[in-house]
Amino acid sequence: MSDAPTSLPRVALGAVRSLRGKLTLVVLLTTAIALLTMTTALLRRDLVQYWHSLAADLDTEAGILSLSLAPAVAFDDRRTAQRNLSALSAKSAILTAALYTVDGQLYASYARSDAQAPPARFAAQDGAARLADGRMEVSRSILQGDEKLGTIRLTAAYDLWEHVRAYLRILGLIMILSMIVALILAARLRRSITAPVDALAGVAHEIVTRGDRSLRVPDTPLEEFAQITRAFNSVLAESETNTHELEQINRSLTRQIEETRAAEAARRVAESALRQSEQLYRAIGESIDYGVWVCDATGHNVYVSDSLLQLLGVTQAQCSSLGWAELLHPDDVQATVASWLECVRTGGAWYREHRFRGADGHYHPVLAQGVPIHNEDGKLTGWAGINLDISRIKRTEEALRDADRRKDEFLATLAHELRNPLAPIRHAARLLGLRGLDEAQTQSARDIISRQVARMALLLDDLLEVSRITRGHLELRPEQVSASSLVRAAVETTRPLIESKGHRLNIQMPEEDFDIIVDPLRISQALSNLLTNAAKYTDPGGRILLQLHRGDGGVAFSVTDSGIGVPAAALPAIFEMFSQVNSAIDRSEGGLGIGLALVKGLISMHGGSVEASSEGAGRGSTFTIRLPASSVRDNARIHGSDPPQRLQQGPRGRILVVDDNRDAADSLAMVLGKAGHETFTAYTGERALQIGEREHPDVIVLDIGMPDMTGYEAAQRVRRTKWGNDILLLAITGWGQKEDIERALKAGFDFHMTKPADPERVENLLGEYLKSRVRTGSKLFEERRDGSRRDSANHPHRHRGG
Amino acid sequence: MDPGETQQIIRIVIAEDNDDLRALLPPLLNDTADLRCLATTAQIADVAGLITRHHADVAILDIQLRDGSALKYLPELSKQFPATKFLIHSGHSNPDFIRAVQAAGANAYIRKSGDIDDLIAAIRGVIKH
Amino acid sequence: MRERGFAQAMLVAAALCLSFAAEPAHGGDVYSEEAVKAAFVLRFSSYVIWPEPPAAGAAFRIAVLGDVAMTSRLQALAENRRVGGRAIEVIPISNVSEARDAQVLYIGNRRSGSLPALLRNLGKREVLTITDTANGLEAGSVINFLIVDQRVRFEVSMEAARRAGLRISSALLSVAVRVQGHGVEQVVNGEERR
Repeated sequence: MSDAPTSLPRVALGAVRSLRGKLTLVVLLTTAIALLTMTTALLRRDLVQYWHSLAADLDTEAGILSLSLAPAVAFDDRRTAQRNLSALSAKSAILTAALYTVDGQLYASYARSDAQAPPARFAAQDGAARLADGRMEVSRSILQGDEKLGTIRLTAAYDLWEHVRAYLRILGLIMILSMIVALILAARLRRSITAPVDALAGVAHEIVTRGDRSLRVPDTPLEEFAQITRAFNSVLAESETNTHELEQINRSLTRQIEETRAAEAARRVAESALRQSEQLYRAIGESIDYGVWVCDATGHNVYVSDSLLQLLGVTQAQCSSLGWAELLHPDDVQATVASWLECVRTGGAWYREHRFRGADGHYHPVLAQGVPIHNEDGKLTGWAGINLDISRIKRTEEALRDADRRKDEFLATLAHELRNPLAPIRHAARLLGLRGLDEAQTQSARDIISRQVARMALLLDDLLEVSRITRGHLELRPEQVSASSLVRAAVETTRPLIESKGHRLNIQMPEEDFDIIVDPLRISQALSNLLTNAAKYTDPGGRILLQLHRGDGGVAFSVTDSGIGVPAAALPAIFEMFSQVNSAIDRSEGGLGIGLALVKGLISMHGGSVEASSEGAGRGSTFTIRLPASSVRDNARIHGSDPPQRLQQGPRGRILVVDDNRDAADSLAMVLGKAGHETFTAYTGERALQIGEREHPDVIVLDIGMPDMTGYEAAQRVRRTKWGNDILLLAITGWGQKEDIERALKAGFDFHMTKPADPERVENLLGEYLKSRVRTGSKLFEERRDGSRRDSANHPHRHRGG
Repeated sequence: MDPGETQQIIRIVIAEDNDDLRALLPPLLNDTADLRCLATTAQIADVAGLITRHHADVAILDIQLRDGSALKYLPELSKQFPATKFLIHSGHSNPDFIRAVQAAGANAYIRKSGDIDDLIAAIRGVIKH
Repeated sequence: MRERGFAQAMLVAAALCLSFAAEPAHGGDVYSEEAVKAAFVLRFSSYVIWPEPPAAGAAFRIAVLGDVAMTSRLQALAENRRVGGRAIEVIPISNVSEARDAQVLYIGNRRSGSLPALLRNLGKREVLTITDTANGLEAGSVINFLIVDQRVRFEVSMEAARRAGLRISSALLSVAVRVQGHGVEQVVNGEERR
């Protein structure tokens, strides 16, 4: 019974959250528990006592009765016994009284009016009271001395519940009263406790919301709270102080943070600058093909730029330490490594040429340069260097050496060849001094002299020509000539040689002759050279085929022989100055090996190309001269339309674009060049004149506003030259006023265009011009030009008629 | 030349592929008292035959003929004709070349650039030795 | 405790039953007149106080004059009983003078004529005299048996008790049919009691 109330309070306490509530609850619970406990105890005691007293009463009564009834029983006086028992009616507590004989039979009895009659038989029990059928029962033996005469049995009402109820009613009343008192007391107690707590809480709340640390908790009489209050207040005071300090610290920290941030920012800037610088250097390093490398103080490589790694096709790990030595050319390894180690030992700079094996498997010559790096204390910390790709230099060196060698060879050969005619001349002269010469011998000697002198002259001329070509001093004199006539001229020149060697010459030319605009002398010279070679390098009785044909809008002359051919190895260099295929033959015929070089030079000056092909030694060869379409001119045609292939593209011309704005000049030239014209560009007037003189363009597109001389000036100067007198001059200006146009035309321009120049218009004008020039010569156009000039507006005029 | 001496005729054959030179040399040489140019050829292949036919004492060979190098044939020729002196007539002046020529069995080497007199002297000289 | 009490009771009951059963001579009825009278005789002892305390170790003597049956009955009953802690001796006498040492004298139903003389002869002896004759009290006995309503009853003479120096418990008196010499005669049937 005492266990139940204590767990419930715990739960109840847990459910209540406020101090106030808890206090109240505690007080109430305490009171209740105390009361309950006491009540329980008292009740129990009471009940026990009740029982006992009742039992005692009953027992006493039984005792008295047994005594009083003893004689009646002893002497079998039933009436007396009955009488005695009936006297019990005075005792209202006793419900029944029964007297039994020794064998348990009912002898005499009494029962209260409302009570049930006692049983007829009764087995004797011991004397203790017991509860039977909700009644207390006491039985006693009636003894006389030691002899048991009978048993007396009494029962009384044992009204436990009534008793308890009565008790509980009282208890309830008391409890309520106590609770009320407890509540009141609790309230008073509470106040004295919660008041300081509230005060504390209030101040704390205020401090939190207002942040005012100057607040203090008011004092309280309660000792414990007084301690707390004092502590709280001292904490607040301290906190106030601390706050000041903290604020100061905060300020200084903020400053520091800002400083740090600034420093950080500066550092980042510096870092960024450093990074950029690093990137720059790295980029520089990477931009160098063979890269940048760094070695440590012991001479072991620690860094190689990616560009080199890529070129060599290796990883950094493979290059590190002395790994890079594996990539050297086998011939270079020993010396290079030895040299490097020596360099490391002496701490000197590194400068060495060697070869690396690239990822492509080829060996690439590099020039490795490195410098030792010292730290602030002057201690050597490593080397840093670059590798320069010197393959081009090497190639150039080799080419130069080659050229030098060839030049030397050539000079030797030249000297030799020039000397060759000397001996016959000398000897012939000597011969002429001899006596007794007949006429035939004399003549022969003279012939020899003439011939040899002529040969020398030719040689020297050739030499001079080549020299002039290479120095750019050869001047072409282009004319419009019939292509077939050139062929014929060349053939004539070389006929003696061809016939002397018994070769058979076959000439193929198209049915319709056509003109080309070339320097006829040079072209036929080139052709003769080819024919001469063909004759020379073919064994007697060979075949030579000379073809002239048109294709790709241009013209081609080709000479095919059945001679000794050209080995494939020698083909690429065959047009070079001093190469000789078969020096013996050439020399014996008095050649210098410059013929093809001469041909190439002459044809290149015409804007054409020359190529050689051969199936190999002993299988003949073919040399082809190609001239561009711009050189080609059809013969004058009065009626009829142009052949279809020419309609696809207009006539091609040579265009000189002059503009100080390079982009403008280049782009116009490019567009026109793509259209098939031959283009030249000049960015100054002076240069334009130079190029014009050299290239003889058909049209000059001239920007008026140029720095060195105005377009007008340039035009005037052009008109004064022979080559520029007739050509088409187009002015490009930024202005389109009538005055500008007039001025341009007066300066000598044929037409005027505003910027930007329209390539199509240029082409159209060029086409018209070229057509008119072919058909009618330049004169008509001149007249036309005069006529059309006056009519010009902003538009360039189109050629009318014809 | 010793006036009292009976002048031995030096019999000469020439191999030279330069036509003009080939035409000029004989009359010039023949203008001398002791030299006789008996035959000329442009082919080295003919040399052996000519030496035999004309009993040449001296064969003047141009170094490079159309059909071959004199140097190549020289050792054979000099073996074949031990009595005949072989004189190389060339435009080259390279010392190594000269050595090679001599090593091949030439008795003398004469440059073409010289006067005819040099050639004559060389011929006489080679005969004497 | 209950069990023990119960057992005891049962034993006592059994014993009583057996004791009653141990009287075969008198046939089936345990409550024969003689048996009751014998029992009463013994019981009277509990309600009488003799003037002199008995000597230590002395037995309680019951003299029986002229009734052999009563003697044997009394002896049978006295076997296992005690009076006041004393063993009971039942002495059959033939002469009153032999009763001097006894505490109780029972005179069986005999000549009534001689009874007063007998009792006078007894003198002032402290003996509880019990008779079973009509007018026994007038003869001078203290207790006299009666039969009332076929039940064994008795009457008591206070005068005789006084003379013998005996005190009689009122409890006994309360169950007596008649008590003589106490001032007021009690009538049995009445409800008045003293």
